[in-house]
Amino acid sequence: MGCFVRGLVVARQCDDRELMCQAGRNGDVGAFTELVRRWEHRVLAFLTKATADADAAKDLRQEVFLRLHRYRGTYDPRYAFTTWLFRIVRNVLSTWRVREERTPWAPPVWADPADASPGPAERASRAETSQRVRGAIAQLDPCERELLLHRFDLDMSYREIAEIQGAPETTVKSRIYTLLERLRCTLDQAADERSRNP
Amino acid sequence: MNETRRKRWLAFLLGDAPEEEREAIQTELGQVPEEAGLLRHVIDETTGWAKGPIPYAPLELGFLESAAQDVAKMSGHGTRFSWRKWALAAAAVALLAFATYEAQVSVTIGNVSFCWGQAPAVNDTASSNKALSLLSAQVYDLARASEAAAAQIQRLSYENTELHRQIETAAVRLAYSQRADTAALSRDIQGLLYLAGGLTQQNNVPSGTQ
Repeated sequence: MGCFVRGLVVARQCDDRELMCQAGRNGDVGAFTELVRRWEHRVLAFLTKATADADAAKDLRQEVFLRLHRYRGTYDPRYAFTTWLFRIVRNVLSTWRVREERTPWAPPVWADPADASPGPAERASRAETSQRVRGAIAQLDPCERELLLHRFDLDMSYREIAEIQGAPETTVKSRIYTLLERLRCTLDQAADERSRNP
Repeated sequence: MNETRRKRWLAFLLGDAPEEEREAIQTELGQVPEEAGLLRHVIDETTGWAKGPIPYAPLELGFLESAAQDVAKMSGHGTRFSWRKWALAAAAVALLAFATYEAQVSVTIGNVSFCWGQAPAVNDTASSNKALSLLSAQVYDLARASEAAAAQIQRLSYENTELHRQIETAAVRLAYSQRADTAALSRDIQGLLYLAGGLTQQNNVPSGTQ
């Protein structure tokens, strides 16, 4: 038990790549446990927003870490751990999409971001546009939501996203800009409606 | 509004624009505040959606152990060695060996019988002796035949050598004979030529004859 705790303490001082190497090469349980602790919630958040199904996201998260554990010996330390982890996430999501019907994504019931606008009218307008953007995100393809999550949730570089997606960096950048442009068009339409119906 | 220009503005707002173009793009955005506001709003909302909190649900790691066991069972590795089973089998073999020893069980194969703890015994000695005699006589005959064959081979080898020697001798004689014949023929030809040369000189009033 003491060895396990000592291992865990040492593990917390290492970065993800080193931990994965230790888990893969030496079967270090403490290293793998630390990796799970670091990434379990972020992977769940990613999967919840990509699938729009909290229960399915939990099952998929378990599948992701099961695969991570099973294939830990195949990890190549030349690649970043996040790239490898989210490639597994992508594969798990692909399998899930093939298995399940695609359901329309409904925005989860958590609090809207607080805004510092002064008046209630302004707040209502902001809330409306926020809902419009999120509604537009709901209409996106799961692959497209996945792309936005890589960029805006995980703050990955375009190079990392390209490695995960298996596409060129310029293509990834162009896709993200196109998605944002589509979301902007939604707001544009809302602004036109407001001007017609004041 | 030009889509390409909007993508340039998005690149700037996302921090992707090249250093040398940033100032120009910032100036352009300053000229279209509503458009810039819309783009910033889209980016903020997308970021808000992406980073929005979700309820915490810890992952139980117990499933990993059971999954590892399932994998081990499927691959046939890591299965526990059944000491009890092997111990029972070894005890059964020992018991069987002891029982056959005590019971003096014997097995007969042909003329030889085997019994636990005893040397193999031959049951019928007379017929075995006769068979051995016949066998030894056959071996003796074969040995003699083998000696005769060896002698024959030696004689033939000698004769072969002798024949070779005779052939060589005959060849040498023939060669000499041919050389002698050639020499004689050569002398005859020379003589004839000489004679032919003398007659010619006689016709042409050879010197010294008058």
